[in-house]
Amino acid sequence: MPKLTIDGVEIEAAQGQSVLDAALAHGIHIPHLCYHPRLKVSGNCRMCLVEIEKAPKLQISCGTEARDGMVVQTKSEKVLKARQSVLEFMLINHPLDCPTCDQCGECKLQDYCSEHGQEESRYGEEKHGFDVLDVGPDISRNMNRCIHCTRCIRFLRDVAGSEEFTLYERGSHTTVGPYLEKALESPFSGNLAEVCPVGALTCKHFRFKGRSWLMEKSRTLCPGCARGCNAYAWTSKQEVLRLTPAENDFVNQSWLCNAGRASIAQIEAKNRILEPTRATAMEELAGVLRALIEKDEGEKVGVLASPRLTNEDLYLIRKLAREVIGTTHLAFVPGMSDDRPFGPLDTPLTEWFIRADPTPNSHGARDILHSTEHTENAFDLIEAAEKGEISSLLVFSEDPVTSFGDVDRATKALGQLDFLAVIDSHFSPTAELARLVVPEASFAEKDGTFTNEQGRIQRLRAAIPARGHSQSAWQTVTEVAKHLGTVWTFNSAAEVDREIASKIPGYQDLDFDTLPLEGLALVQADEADQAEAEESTPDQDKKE
Amino acid sequence: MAEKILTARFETPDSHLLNTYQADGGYTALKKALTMKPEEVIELVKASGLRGRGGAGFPAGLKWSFVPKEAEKPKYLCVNADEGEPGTFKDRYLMELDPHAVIEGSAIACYAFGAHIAYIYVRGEFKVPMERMEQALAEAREAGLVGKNILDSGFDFDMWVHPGAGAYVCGEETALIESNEGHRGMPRLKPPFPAVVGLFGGPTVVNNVETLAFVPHIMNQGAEWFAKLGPERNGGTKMYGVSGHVKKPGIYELPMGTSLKEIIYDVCGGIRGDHELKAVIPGGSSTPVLTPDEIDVAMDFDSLAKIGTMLGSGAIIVMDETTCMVRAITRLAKFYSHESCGQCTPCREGLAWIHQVLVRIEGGQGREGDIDLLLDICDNVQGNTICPLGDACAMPVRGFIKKFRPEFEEHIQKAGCPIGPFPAPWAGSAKG
Repeated sequence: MPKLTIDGVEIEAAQGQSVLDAALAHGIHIPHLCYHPRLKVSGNCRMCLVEIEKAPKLQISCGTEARDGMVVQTKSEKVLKARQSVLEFMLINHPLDCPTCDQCGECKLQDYCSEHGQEESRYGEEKHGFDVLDVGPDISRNMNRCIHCTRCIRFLRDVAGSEEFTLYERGSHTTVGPYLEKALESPFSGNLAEVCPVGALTCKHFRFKGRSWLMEKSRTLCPGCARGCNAYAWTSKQEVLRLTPAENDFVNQSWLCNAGRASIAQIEAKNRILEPTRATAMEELAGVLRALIEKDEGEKVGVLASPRLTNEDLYLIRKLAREVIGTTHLAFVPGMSDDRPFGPLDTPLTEWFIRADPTPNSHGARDILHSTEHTENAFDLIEAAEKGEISSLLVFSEDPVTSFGDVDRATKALGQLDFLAVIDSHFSPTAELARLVVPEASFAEKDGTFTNEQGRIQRLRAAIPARGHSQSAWQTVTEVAKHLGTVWTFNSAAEVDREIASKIPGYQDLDFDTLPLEGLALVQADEADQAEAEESTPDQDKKE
Repeated sequence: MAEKILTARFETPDSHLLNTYQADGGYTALKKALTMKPEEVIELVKASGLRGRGGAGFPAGLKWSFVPKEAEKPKYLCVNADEGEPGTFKDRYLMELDPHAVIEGSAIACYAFGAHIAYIYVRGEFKVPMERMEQALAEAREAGLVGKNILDSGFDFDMWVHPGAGAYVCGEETALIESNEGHRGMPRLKPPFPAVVGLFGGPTVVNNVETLAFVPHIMNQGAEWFAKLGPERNGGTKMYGVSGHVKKPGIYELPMGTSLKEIIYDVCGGIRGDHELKAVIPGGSSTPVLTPDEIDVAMDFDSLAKIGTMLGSGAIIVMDETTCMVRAITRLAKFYSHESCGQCTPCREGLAWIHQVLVRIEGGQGREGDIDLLLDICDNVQGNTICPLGDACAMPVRGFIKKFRPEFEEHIQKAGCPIGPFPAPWAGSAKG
């Protein structure tokens, strides 16, 4: 491992690591703009120039390999002059429009200029402007603010797998933009808003909606697919204004797809369910169930739960069905399986990122609901309704009328039921048929955990208070269970998790409050078995 | 006049044809090289002291020796025929009038460092040189001098013409490689150097046309002969391209180290009309300018470096007293800012800024402090860029100010050009 000295501090770098990476890893910040840890080095911005002993000129730290015995200065007079001059050059044709720029407050150029720049520009010539060009519905391009770092070009080409941007013209007239002035087509183009270190590429959906310093951000999960991308929900005045990626090397690296970003739209969607059918809905629901339980007809109750729900929701739904109602008609709609590797991989995002399963918790649903002796899928439930095997149905965040595939048959089957209750965040054709509708919180309003396709338990955090009278399914279920005379004492998702940890195989290490940021890999059943087997019969196995 | 080597055949009718070339002993050097070991060829060129004629003067044999013997990817030779530096016009004549010498030199170079393919990257505007190279390659291919198993030696050598698309920066070796690969011509970060990772990722040597044209002569007449043609460490002759206010501008092949004064006054017949010499750019527009009292200097790499300038490509631009130095450097700055590839910040923004300030000074809108501002911008550009294009602008700007500062000051004080108004076609914006 090469040992080098940066600003008088001796550090050890990894073999082949750049001076910049080594410095950053040791908490020494060398200003940089074109460098991005997940993109190829291009060395064009010249912000990270440093003085290296014996080198005749300043060297870019992003493109210089750390070598044994190197003596690096990042704050020498020569370095500071070069850094200041690079910033001065960058501002020559920059409109200096921070007050009306969406990047304001999270702009690296702005930060570095206030830290290293000059009070006044020496540039006394006319600035040139670039034409406005619409690059599609997700990203807004303002070429005047561009610093030509080419991060966008490199992201699209090397990461997103769609080479859509390139450099045009030369010299100070160089522009960055799409080939043939076409709109961006990449399903990952939204990342350009974060990839761009300045205000040249910003998110169209977030335009003029909020200031970074006036917003709060909660680290949560994208509900859009089985990957379970880590994300920040940015809120202001109890409204989620945008979803941006949060780093997770095991899951989504630094990326989030456009569809995932758009999932915040469901929070304020017109068809959101905010109030129950009647104020007495819970009592009514409990009343129907109590009547059946008292007649010992709990088995005639069907329960359908969605893999969109959290592990906590699913666990208490199972507990209600099995222990309180006493039915085996507990079902969920399994998510689509995906043959492609899960990653994260170094191949283009198009090859692995967005999962075929559009629900965030199919793995969790399988782990929790399949751990009962008997679980059906939604289609069996429709058939059970047709045959009269069930007379009542509780539907949690699903729409069997649509998902069954035959609307008329499903509608007819559900119409035969004595009682249909839907607990959901949004109105659906199934909800239209229900006697009772109870509002469910949206993903941005819930605490809980999802288990992603890879078997990683990750935390969903409420970013805003639940809208209207909506709440998490586990709360609804607890309320119903209490009406039915149970002594359940679940007051938080954390309390539910303590029971999950003791009851569900693989979840024994789950602790809601200490769940690491990068999530927790499930304890694999075969691993546990193997460990047990090795402990008990070590020799026998070896003989085989 | 001294011995002519590269230009010896220039006067011969049909000098560009294979017959003419072979009648004059052409391709015997290649034949000889193919009987030697590749290392022996490299040693011979090293011993001759042949230095690159593109501008930097790097020893050619040493460059070849940097190429690793074993490589996973194919090795390549790129012949740099992008000749774009203002004032330079030597390689075009070599390609037009003696293309087979370029091919033969390229074949020997490839044999020496183990490449089988050479690309000659020809400046896009060089239509005739390109046609001549194509024609010569067709002839050579027909005669078994290019292609599989050349001269029955078992050695494969192929060569292709790659037309440039009109960017000065493609004369920089890594930009040339990028462009040769079909990409936008932008210099790459170094390291890795082309000798390790070059064209299509393979080890690559980039040599100037003139450099390679010397190789057959060195093969035939020996290293010692070549070295003795010029002063120590500056062997051979040099093709000097003289332009500007001399009576007889043109290409002159002279021994390395010929005095600049001799070139201007004896070889080129002195300054036009009754005019007096005012300034000389000795080695292409990026090299710092010299004043009349400095021209008693030997035109070789080391002597010019000693007085703070460079031999560069040997392109001598002569200016008499009718020349406005501010206008001259403004024009050069316009060229460099226009030719900046736009990749790295100091060159992209700094060169345009330099040009804007110069346009203002020449146009009579100079401000107090402009000259120091120019020098500081140069300081901030020079040494901080990916490739030497930024330096190529900063160096002459500094040079002009250093040697002719009073003229700049006069422009600012008198709010105009003492020599006359800025002619309209030049007075445009930085866009060029």
